[in-house]
Amino acid sequence: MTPLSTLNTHQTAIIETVIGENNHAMRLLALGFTPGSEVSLFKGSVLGGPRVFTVQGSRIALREYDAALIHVSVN
Amino acid sequence: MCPSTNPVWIACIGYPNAGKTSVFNSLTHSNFKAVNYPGSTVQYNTATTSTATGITHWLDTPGVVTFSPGSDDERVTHDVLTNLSSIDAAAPQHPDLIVYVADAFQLERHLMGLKLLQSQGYPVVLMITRADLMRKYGGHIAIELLSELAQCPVFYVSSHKGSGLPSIDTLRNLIPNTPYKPLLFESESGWKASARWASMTVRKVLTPPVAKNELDRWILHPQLGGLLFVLIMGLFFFLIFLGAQPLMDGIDSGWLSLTELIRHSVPQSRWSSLLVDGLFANIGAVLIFTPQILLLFIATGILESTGYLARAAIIVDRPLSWLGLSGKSFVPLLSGSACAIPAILATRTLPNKTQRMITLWMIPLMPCSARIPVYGLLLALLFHGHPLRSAVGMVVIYAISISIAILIGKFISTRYKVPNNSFYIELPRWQIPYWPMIFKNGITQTVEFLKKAGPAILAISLLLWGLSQYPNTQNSWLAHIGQWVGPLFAPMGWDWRVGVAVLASFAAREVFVAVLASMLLISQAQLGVHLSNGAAPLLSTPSILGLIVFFMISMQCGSTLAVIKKETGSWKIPAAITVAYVGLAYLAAVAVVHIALLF
Repeated sequence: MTPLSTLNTHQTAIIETVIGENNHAMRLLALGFTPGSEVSLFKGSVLGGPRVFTVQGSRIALREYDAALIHVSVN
Repeated sequence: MCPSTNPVWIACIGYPNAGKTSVFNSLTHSNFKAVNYPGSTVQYNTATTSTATGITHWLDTPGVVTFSPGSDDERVTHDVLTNLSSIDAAAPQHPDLIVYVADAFQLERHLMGLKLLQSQGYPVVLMITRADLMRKYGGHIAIELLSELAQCPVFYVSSHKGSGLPSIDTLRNLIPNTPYKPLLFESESGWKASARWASMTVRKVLTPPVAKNELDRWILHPQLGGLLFVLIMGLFFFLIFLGAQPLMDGIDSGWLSLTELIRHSVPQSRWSSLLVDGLFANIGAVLIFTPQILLLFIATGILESTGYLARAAIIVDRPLSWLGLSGKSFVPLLSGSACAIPAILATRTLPNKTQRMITLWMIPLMPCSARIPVYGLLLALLFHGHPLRSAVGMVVIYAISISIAILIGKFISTRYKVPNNSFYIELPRWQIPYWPMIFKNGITQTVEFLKKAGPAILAISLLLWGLSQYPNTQNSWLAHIGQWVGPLFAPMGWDWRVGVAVLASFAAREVFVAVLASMLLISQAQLGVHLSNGAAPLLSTPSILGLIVFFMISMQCGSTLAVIKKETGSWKIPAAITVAYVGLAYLAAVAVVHIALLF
């Protein structure tokens, strides 16, 4: 298991767990980062900012801080 | 409870960008703004309809990801669900029916929220939006099966046009006859259970669309993305100012002919001079800038509805993090370049108080539309009416204003502790703007601007005309006031008439142009200065630069202060902003004039 923030561009992984305090973890779950879902890195950061992930057919940008809370297993 | 006789309450709930506002508009036949940016419905909108079966109260809520209150707009949605009577005393504690809006392209995520509400006991009707686009891209949703699996009525509606929507009476008949007692309690396990259900359901009902979304490869490109951003924003402002020119010329000559027509058709008297030189000249001086303001509102609407703003928020997130902010502050700051008031309301979407405070301090420094007439006049004087140079000058003014806002933002951020480092944003689909809505919104906002500016201009015109006419034109009260305040503006080399116009601009910035225009006409009789010769002798180049800098920084908008007071709960922040920005503007103007004099 590795944090989502370590994913390379176009690499795909399965979400295992979301850590972080209750409210924050819940928000990430509700955004679509649910255990069992497939996630991939669509784009690395623009100007060192957030990275864009594809999950459940949507594109969602996360800062490093949030991406580190999502743990995935790479296929 | 019998829904056919009592008024009922129906709330629209959904994720950001699900299309709630469009559904709400179509159902209630009202016109609110449907936008693509998460959390655009910061204030909840309400409507009341009366049909054969009775009165229905409608509530549109801010889009939320979870139902726990984090930011101020999430609190509104939370209150509508759990404590509706706190929002409207006549309402029951919970809405009678939830219209849950989900986007066909985001079905799995959006079904999670539906399941969560249902599991808490809320009576829900599901509306899936963007049916037309889904069909266009070859996607399909088995509605009957979904309705069976979700155990609630499902409607499949097209974006904007609202086809597929049920009638109000059909919806009212779906209200359960027995009262319900929901228990809104979110938990991680609740969300996980909803996620499992949504994932299973989507597998059964959805044939995914084959839509390639290639634009993001360029727009969000690690290096090119930043360059494109600068290019798009630069073009945005440049085209507004250049594109408005022909329209402005048209209004200018039209208004002038009208003024002359009236001048010749009424007998010459003190009152005709009030009408023509006072009122007509003043109104015209501001009216001429309507095209720029209209284009600004329309262009912002286009950026918003295509989905670019959410991308821009990602691109500027890193630079904004230097100020303790995140990409979420981008939309309030950009709308501040049209008008500070909606921009300040938009800060409600920000996740914490620190970010709100920093953004609140920055917004009054954004180049709002009330400054456009002022800059327009000053640039015309500076460049002798050369339109291309003026457009470039305007873009430079905008760039400097934004730089000042960033520096002040940095200073403010050092005074607060920045709490956490989280930022997430979902990217809405790229969309072709829905033009009727964009033009309608643009016109509405421009009319609002004129309505707000109108009374101030009228009042100031009358006051100034009175002061300039009595006791007599040779030795008027206005001249006395001017001479009295003269020393205040002497360090900038501003003539007393300019000083009076600056003072009047504290009523509203755009009044400056109206007042200066009428002052030149007033003083024409006294000093023999002809407006047609240009105002060059009145204002030297350093003085013009000083005026531009003064207007960039100074806080001269009562409505903005009132809204900040309302949002922060006290006069402390608005008072501090006024003292700081007026003082800074004065010092900066003096400095700029003296530096410019060296060249």
